Amino acid sequence: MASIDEFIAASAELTGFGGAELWATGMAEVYWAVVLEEAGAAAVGRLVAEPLGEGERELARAVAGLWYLGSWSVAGGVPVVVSSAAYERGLVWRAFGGQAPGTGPRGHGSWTVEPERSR
Amino acid sequence: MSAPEAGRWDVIVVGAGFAGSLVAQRLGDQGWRVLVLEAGQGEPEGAAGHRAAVEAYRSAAVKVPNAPYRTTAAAPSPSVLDLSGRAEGGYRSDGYVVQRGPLPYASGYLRANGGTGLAWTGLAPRMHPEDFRAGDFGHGRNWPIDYAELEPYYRAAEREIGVAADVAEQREAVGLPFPDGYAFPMRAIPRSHLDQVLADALDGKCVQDPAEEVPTPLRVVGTPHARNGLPNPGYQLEGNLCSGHASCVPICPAQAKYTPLRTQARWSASVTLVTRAVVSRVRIDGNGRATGVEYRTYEGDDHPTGIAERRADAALVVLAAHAIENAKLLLASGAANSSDQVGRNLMDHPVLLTWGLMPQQVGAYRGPGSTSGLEGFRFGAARARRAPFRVEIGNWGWTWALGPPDLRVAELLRSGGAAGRGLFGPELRRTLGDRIGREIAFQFEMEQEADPANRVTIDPRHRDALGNPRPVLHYDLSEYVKRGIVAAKAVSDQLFALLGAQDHTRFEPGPAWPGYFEYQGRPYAYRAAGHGAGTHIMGDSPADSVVDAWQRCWDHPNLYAVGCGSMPTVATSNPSLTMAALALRSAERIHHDLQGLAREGALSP
Repeated sequence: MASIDEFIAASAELTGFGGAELWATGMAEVYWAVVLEEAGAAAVGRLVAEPLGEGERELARAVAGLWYLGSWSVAGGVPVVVSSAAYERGLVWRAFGGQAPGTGPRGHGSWTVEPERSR
Repeated sequence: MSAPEAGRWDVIVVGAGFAGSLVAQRLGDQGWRVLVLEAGQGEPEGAAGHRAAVEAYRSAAVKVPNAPYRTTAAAPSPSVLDLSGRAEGGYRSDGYVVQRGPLPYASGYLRANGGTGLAWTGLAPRMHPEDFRAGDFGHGRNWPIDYAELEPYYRAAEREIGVAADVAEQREAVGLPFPDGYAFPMRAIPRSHLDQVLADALDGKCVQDPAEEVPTPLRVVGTPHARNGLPNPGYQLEGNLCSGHASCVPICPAQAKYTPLRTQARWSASVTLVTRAVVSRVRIDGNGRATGVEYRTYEGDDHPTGIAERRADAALVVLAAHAIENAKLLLASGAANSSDQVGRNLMDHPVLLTWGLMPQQVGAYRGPGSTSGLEGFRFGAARARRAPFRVEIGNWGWTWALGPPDLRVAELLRSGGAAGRGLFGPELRRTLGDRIGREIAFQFEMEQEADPANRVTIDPRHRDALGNPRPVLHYDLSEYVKRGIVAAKAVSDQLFALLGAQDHTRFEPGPAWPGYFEYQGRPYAYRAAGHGAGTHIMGDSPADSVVDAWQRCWDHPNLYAVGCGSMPTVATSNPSLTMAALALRSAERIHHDLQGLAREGALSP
């Protein structure tokens, strides 16, 4: 059976975020459990062996989506948010230097300053 | 069956939302015994309830306005998710509200303690003096009162709900009269970085509105907010400063946004709230006087249990249940309809959304949903030719138009990349990082004129879980509104060109656009702002209006219907502040009426 380290390495390849960054979200173990539960060990084994191969392309999309959005979504299905923490730590917000709406207070007027990425 | 609230009250208020909470507060302060009956449930209550609602929002797969709040089958709430577009055009509606019009009434509302005022966006602009005489332009109706009459109540409402704005800017850039020396309770909410980028590019430039003879000058103007900014002297801040959570709709985690729960916390001991109490009928005696209400209490959310029939008596009844629910109740009660206008003139703000990518990062998804707008299309002679509109600058990227970034992520994963088989890895990260923070949207809120054909009716074949009638709506957009949408789209095209932005606006029939339509051979679609109005329209004659200038039913001297349902024109400003001002004005009149009844000995001790 694949290990969580292999899962993180595959996730890094799929998301473009480094393994340390993925661990730093605090969601690694939760997502590992979600993916095993939803996809099964066999499919996960094939994914970690060849993350960008054609064989598990749908699973690759679901895993990348999980890291970016905090929700599990497969083609044709309704996305399920793993938890409020998963929503908060979605990489899509990190990707442009933002924060998930409704999380993490900033300061009054923080929206007036130029976004960090443009500096 | 008796209940603690049985017996005779001075006033019964039906609905614990924006207008009902304000009326109850003012009457309670005068010592009147007020019973407030709220159809929905009473959460979120207290700090724990608030935290639970925030968690529900963060965990919701689809973060629609009603998402944080529990609703009940006994008092169903229409959700924007009830509507979907058909692939071939047209729409389907599967919710509580029955829709029969050519186009959908596309707003939801919330039946819960606090009402839609829990989920509202918190923008609180005043109406312009011209808005009170929209009928003079040949479309819709005039008000029986003018701006000057309402002005002191605007000030009272701004104090009660706590409005942050710059009086000099509102005077100069919007043309609003204020008394000398007036200051809003709080200093203006800071404009977003996006507002500043747009001001740098647009201020002093002009665009050509096709309905105007001369170009319209542009100026980015701050919008008044009912959320906490820095207090001006003499104003005591309640709650925290706005800290830019970017989730005002549907919930402010910092509780910086006003909700009616804040007013309820100020209620005197003579106000009693009963939640899960669904009023089914106003009782009217042979002399046309309201004597009280019949209602049902219930337990449970998905399946009502413990249903009990109840009644309460009062010297005066105030309906404050939302424009559509007020009309439904009046129709079910056979009340107030000698003019045949109850339920008619249903208005909303149809919203044209346009969206694009700015050339540079603008900090999308930060701060309140909108902090500034363009005011130049709201007034003037063009109003005779097309619906006027207010332009909101959207701070939350493409959320309202296309949903949060989730769908863009999913699309890149599905069909991005050179081979169209999905984008992954550093290229995915780079693409999202580049695009999401450049998203902008314009929100054109169109005035919709009072049209008697747009209406709420009831039909005994359509009932809810308690057996109460469900609202049956017939809704459409007039040529006047559609011409406004055409003008707004032309303005949008020029704005994107001035900004050097890539315009990604595209309207097509399908599930995401129930408000899709074609006009003059071109595709358009609208969403709606949740600003239902007009269903118990105010006027100066009982022949063609439901309530008088005090929101008192012409047909029943002790029955009031308050809220946006009274508005003769919904104009182009978000209507909650005007609703609040009207409610405070009515509360004074109700107090006067009650004093008269007391003198006549008509109030029991």
